[in-house]
Amino acid sequence: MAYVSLEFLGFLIPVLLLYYLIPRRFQWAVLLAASYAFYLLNGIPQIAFIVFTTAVTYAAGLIMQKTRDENKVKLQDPEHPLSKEEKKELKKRMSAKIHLVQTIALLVDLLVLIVVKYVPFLAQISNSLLNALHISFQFPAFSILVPLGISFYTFMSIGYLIDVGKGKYDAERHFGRFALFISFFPSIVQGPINHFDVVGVQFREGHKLEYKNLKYGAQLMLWGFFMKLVISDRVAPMVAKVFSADYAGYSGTALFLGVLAYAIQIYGDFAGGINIVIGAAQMFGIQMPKNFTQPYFAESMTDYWRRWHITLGDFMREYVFFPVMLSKPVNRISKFFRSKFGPGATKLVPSIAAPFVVFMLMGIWHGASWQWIVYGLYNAIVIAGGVALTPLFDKLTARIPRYQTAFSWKLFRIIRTFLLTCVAKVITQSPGLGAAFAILKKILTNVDLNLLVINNGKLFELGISPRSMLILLAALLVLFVVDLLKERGVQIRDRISEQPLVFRWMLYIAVISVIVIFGCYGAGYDASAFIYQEF
Amino acid sequence: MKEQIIGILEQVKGGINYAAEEKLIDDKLLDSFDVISLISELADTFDVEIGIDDMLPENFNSVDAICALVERLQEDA
Repeated sequence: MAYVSLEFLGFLIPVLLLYYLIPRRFQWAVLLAASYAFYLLNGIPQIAFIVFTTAVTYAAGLIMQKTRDENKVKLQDPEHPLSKEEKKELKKRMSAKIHLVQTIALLVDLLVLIVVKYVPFLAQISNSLLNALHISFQFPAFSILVPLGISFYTFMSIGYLIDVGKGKYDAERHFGRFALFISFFPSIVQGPINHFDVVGVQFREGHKLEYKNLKYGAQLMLWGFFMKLVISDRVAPMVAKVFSADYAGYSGTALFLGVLAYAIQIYGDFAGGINIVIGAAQMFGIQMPKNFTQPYFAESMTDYWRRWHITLGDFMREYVFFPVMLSKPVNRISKFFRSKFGPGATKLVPSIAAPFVVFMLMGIWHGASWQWIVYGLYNAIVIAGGVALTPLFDKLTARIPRYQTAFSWKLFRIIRTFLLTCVAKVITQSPGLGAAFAILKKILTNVDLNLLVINNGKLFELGISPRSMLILLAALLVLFVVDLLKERGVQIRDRISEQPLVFRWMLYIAVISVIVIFGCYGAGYDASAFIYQEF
Repeated sequence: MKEQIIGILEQVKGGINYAAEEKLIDDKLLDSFDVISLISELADTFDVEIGIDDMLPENFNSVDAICALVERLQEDA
């Protein structure tokens, strides 16, 4: 069942009704039943995977918590005071036990993810290697139906295990509520990657019906439908046409327009989808973290990754970057450089090494293929390069201080960053890695200005009719204005609330009409295909 | 110790009123690279080992919090 479907609304509304009608202490049970029903509607055999990961993570959390609690009692027992040495020994034993349980659970959770998502790719690599070595043995080619949301809920489980392990918060004792945190149906398909202490704890309390939550949630969902149906799905035919096996038949300019179209498509698709998710959750009184803050206004690649898929970036920083940087080997390398090149090098080493670790993983998280690996490498090179060259850029811009605040300078940075992210998009969206490089080369070398002459009709051979193009441009203008307002700190839903009733309802009816009339529901259109669902 | 820590912080990233600031991490005044540099400076200056289990925002949000962390680690050592 797709979020963008009448079925989903038909599912959401009765769940909401039931949720607010039953006593608040049972609300979690309604959501858990709904979440599993939602999951079952997406394929019965897959459910075993999420149940298994949930059970392993829950049990490990409890054992770690119990160990920590018992330790605390012993440390504070007034009848058996401990010496400093004994306390130290006790803490050491506790740490060792917690780390053991944590490591086992992490490995099990990761193993499930690796087996279903990466083994087919590893088999394919091994086969190529065996072929190259002229060994006739081949692993059988196979693929497993990847369970819905496995990348998202596995990461949430990993975060939980690490946090409970270090005592950031207490483990959840209630199995049902924990299972709900992992499987909550609005966020199971495409995130956000939630933290237990931010979202999970909200399932502990009952939520009374609040008009503001229903209203704001519905508004956000509506905006999500607009982004997905009116913008993303309308631009999709052009992306499909240009990034197909026939890419060689298009000019560089057509390919460039295709890249722009894809940038629009994926933003509308993913950010729009997340708006539906956050809006639906808010209707239940559950507040989820933001996953996007106007990413195409980013002024640098680092800035972009703080605005695009924020919860994945946060996850990588907290659970990959810090552990890697604080690990003993990296520490030794840092110290070596520091002793050779002075204190400045302490920052330089992690700044260059970390993006490679983080973005390679980020690439692989998206998909098991060479394209995603190169995507990770590309992002890492741009970011590490940017960090390494910062002192040089600072020196250069210091010479022209008045330009640093100029609008043109800011605009230049925004466009440059956008184009850099477009290169990454070509890498993953092209039919193959070779095609990606060919497309990039063609964009730079094969300019066809005829395409931009509106009245010769060439532009409309790319899959979008003149009528569609007009609707798209109008919708993009609306999206641009809304994002610009948000960028300037305007709380749009608060501002709408301040307006007179008549205006508010006119606005709602207008947006709903636009979605119904101008949303894409044509023949062969598949509203179920959220791009991030595949990850 | 407090002055020493402020000195280190200023060396890591200038232009922040460290004595008054209480949300260095929550308000994203220090980014992840800054935190890593800070940790390695603290480790060298005070001879403590800051591990991944200590990486909680509340340990780095203010000079006092950093001070408390270092003192606790020195005691444990």
